[in-house]
Amino acid sequence: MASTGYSTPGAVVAMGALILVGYVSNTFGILLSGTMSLLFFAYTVRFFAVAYHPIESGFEKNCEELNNASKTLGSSPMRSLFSVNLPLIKNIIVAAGLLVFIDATKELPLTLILRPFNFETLATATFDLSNQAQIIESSIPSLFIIFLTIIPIVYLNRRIGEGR
Amino acid sequence: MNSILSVSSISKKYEKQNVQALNNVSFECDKGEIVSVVGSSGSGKSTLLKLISGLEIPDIGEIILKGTIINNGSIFVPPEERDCDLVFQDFSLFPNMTINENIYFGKNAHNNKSMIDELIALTDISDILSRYPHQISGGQQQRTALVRALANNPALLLMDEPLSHLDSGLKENVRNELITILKKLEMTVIIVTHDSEDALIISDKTIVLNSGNLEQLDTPKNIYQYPKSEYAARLFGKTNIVPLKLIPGVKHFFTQASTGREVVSIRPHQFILQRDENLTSLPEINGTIRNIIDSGHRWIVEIEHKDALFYAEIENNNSINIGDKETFYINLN
Repeated sequence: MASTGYSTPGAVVAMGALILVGYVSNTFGILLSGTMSLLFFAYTVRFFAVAYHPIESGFEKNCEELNNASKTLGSSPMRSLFSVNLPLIKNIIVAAGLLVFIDATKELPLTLILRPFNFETLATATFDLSNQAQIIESSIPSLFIIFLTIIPIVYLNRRIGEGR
Repeated sequence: MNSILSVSSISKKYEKQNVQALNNVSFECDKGEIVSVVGSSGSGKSTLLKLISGLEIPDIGEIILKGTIINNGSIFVPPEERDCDLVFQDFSLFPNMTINENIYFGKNAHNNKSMIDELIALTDISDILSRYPHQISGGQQQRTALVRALANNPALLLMDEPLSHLDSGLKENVRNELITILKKLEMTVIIVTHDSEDALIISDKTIVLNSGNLEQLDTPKNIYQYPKSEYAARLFGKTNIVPLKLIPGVKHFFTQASTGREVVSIRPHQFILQRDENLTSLPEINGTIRNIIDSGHRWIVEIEHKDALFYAEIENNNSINIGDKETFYINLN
């Protein structure tokens, strides 16, 4: 259920988030709409699956038996987590983070709806400029998006190559 | 002797797979005793270790370790608080730690430094302490896993098929080392194995599990010689299931589950060719030789007796040929 966000359009996730914060505002009197917190919450819902599945499979592959070994040697769950599990899946966590970064950098509808006032991302800047027919100017943030996402892709490709 | 472990009527069912992994199993384990658990795949051997170590919770039953209840209907002591360590089938050494860090990972390890130094010397792994698990051989990994478990100085050591990953040459050496170390430390051990030879050599007592049921509990030699079921008999190597009526007067017999007949397990080496010896006091069986197979140092002879086929293992075949009618003594000791 938690991983369905990725298959849901960004605009739908944004509307869902707005309905939720509307309820929270009415019930608890906390204003969350138009804040960075809401944007991060919506990104989490949207991209949770991108990070969750590789980390889950990495954990199942690398950690279950070792976790049991750690337990029978007298380690608390926290010690097992920090001494055994996290060091073993740290590369997977980094890779999952990069995948989320790539997706979040180019996410547009959700950001357009939920971004705070005067807050621009590269994707929204590109959209705004091209909307104003400033096609040449819009190429600068577009190129930045390409440049920024190429770096993790090159890194991930190298890691995959090393893994082989 | 002092009982270290008492397992009373434990059962475990894996609901998802609808498998009764263990059914009403009870046994006791005395201090310094090495108990082997044998059985075919899916017989519940590993589940038994997981229940004792706390990695699984039994549906019913009680487990007492060193006089303290660690599991019953209302008590569950988590694995990290139980005074027992488990050596896993694949050794489960932490790949991100050196051998030394692996050994000192256990919660009590730093209190047992002198014992660990002795164990390191005894297992001859002092040269590899700064290496990582992937940089050492299977035998060294096995010894490291053993030292890591013993470093905690547990009251009970559980070993899940620790020799199954080793090739036959290395296995024999490691097995001998294992016996030396465990006996020297007077460690109480439950060792799961699918190899009856391991059980015969290593253990003082053997538990035979069949589809989650305790089939027989005895010394391994007794199970080998006097099995109480066809399953137990076949688990300990090649055997002939001979109807009791062919060799009446035998004390140790059992009822064959598939036919309901009373039968006796006779090992191939218990057959003695009549013309080689003169042992008239022993029961005898005659039949036609159907095949003779050279197994290197001995001969496997197939004997047909009234539609039944028996296998005898004899030291020479100088005098017999296929098609001959021969008489064999059966040595029951």
